[in-house]
Amino acid sequence: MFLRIFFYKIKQLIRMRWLVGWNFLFPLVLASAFYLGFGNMIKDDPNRLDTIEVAYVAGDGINSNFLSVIEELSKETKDHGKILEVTSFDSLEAASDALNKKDIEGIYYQHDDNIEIIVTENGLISTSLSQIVKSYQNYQASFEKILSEKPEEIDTLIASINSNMSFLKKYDFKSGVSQYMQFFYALLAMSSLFSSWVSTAMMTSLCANLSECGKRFELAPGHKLKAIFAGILAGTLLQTLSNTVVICYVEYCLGLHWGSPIYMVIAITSLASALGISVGTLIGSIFKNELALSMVPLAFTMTCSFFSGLMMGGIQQIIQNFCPILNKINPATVFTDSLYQLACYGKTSAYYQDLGIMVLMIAICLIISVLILRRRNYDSI
Amino acid sequence: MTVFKATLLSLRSFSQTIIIYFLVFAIFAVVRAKVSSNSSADIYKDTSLDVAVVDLDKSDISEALISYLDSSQKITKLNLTSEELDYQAINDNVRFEIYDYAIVIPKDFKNLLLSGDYEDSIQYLASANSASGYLISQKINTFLSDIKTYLDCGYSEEESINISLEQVEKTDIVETKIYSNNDYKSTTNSASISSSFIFSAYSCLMILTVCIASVLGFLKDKDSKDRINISGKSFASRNKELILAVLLIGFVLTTCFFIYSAILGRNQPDFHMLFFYGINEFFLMFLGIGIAYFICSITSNTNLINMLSNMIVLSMSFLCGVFVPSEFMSATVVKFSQLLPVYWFVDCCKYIEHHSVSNVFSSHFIECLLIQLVYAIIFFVAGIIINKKREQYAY
Repeated sequence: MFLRIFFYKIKQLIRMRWLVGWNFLFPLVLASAFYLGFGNMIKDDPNRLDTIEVAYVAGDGINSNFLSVIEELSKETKDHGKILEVTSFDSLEAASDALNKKDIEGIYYQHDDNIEIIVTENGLISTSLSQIVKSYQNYQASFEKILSEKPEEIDTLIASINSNMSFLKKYDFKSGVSQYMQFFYALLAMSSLFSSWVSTAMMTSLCANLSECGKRFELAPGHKLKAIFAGILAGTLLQTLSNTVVICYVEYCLGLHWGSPIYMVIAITSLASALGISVGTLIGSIFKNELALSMVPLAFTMTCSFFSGLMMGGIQQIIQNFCPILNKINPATVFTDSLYQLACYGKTSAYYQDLGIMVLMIAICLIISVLILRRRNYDSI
Repeated sequence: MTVFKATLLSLRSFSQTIIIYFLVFAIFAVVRAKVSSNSSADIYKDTSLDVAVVDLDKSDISEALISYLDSSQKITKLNLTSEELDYQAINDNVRFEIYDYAIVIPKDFKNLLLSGDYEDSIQYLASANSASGYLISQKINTFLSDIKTYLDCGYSEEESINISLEQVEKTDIVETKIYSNNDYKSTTNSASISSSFIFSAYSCLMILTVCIASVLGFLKDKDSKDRINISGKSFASRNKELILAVLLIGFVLTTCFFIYSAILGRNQPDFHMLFFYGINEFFLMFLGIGIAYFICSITSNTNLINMLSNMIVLSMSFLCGVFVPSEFMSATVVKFSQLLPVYWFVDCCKYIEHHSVSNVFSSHFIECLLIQLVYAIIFFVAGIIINKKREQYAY
């Protein structure tokens, strides 16, 4: 009986056109929109330090020490790539013209013992250009002070400046996954939670007060819980299939790497699909109004997805710092965090904790649903 | 006014939908408004980055370094011991841009510096090869190099710290000018009322399309349709009343969003531009109505209406800079998004943000509004064509 209901449920779900649309088409459309919107940010980090194209204009009688410094920064070293690409201009007008045409990103204008910076907007580029001048002025000031106060230390000073001191070392987790992949993790979370619609639709055909099919089902002398579990399994399978399509589409068609082996991503997403189905079963067993059965899963999914970073990257980390418990009870965040942990740090305790929470959520939802659904009476029929 | 009343009454059955959507989007908007706050200006200002510092050394040199960074950056001191130090948690905050940069000053850093064994002793966390990483690393290296140089040249520890602090304060003054090329598209300012309005595009369009499409779908139900048909009203007056009712629903819903966005942005410096944002928002209303009519011509199933609305509105919102600023998108995508109506709503908001009351009423402003209107008409006409074809094939 279990298998028969299971196959009937699969057939029934596949015939619901809007459901297939939601679960198969919508995540694909959104993944494509994400890719178009910020696929370039994943492949090419917008915060990356690119070579800054800068113009250098010198007034009359200016010594070229600063030009030597910035030319030094135009060379690649073992510590960093090319920081600047310097083009010398004869006049400020010509340089401004280039700036206006966006051929360059800033101008160093050295005149009357002063280095002026001209940029088009505030930001990291202008601050980086400014920091180079500050460092130059700082070395100059050190040089002048030590020469005037302790001229005998000139050798130490030159040795010190030439030593190119480095106090910093990067702590690197060697994670090659872009932070913007978080949007795709949140998309998978949304897609998985949308499966709650599958189970609310399924519950409609199992409840006598909601559909004709439900009346016939309730009258049949079969085991109800077995039938419900067969339906849940059918929904989970369908949702897993839909998520697998999205995962493969992102990995192979869009060329974006999930950061972990694809079978692991599919396995975790299957768990999330089961979670979505369980949540839907719970909603389906609590609400009896047809409109509520379509609106509550939608509102629930969108709210959970928003707080897991679907529409605003980094929001889950803000919540983590201020109210971490919210992240632990939001199924979408628990799911995205498990993918994130796996991609960035591997199978850590936090990763297993996330999986454990998902399993616990599934169990809680199903137990409550069973308690509500068992021996249900329909006083009004 | 039978049809008018019937249309408004049918909206009652969707009141739950409206309330749920409005609450969900109200929460989204508040969270978004609270979280995004930065500023841009026409006068030069160094970019101040969020730097987290874990000082395990707690010496005068490490305190001086923190004090120096604090003068130009937003410093968050993490009072952690070596045992409590969790690099993974700090890295999560750096990855999700809670901090731009984090440094861990080790125990005995001062002794390492004095003994000359300081090479790579401070650990930092920053996004891979990021500009912010380079910038702060430069600042730290410059400051500590100063101290080390003065120490090597025979200055005392206290003198070296004081001279270095005074020196960086003096040399931090660099004359910098902003060359204005009047390109308003190159900057976005989240400390503006425009960010509230831009985000409302998603919420407002979603509610408008779902509610109006659901109401129109409800009126297409055979029973409701037959009852309206036998009401004795002429075809023209029936449609007039329907249009009036739809416009009223659209107007009320849009007004709610307008008021809500205005309340969210009431403390922003460009609050006085509210009137222009309002005009833009009401042109978006026509677009919402157009999309709603188009969707309800395809289906009257509430689930399908929800699906199509989400598909159209959410995708457009992502592509047109409602969630992710278009500055981050590639030029090709921005060109493509110009073909979408929401782009022109967002563009209009940015345009208003960067212009004063006297010169905002320009051809570009009108162009943005008209494009939205044209798209609304296109959706409406497409809906009429689909309806007509369906009626033809029905017989």
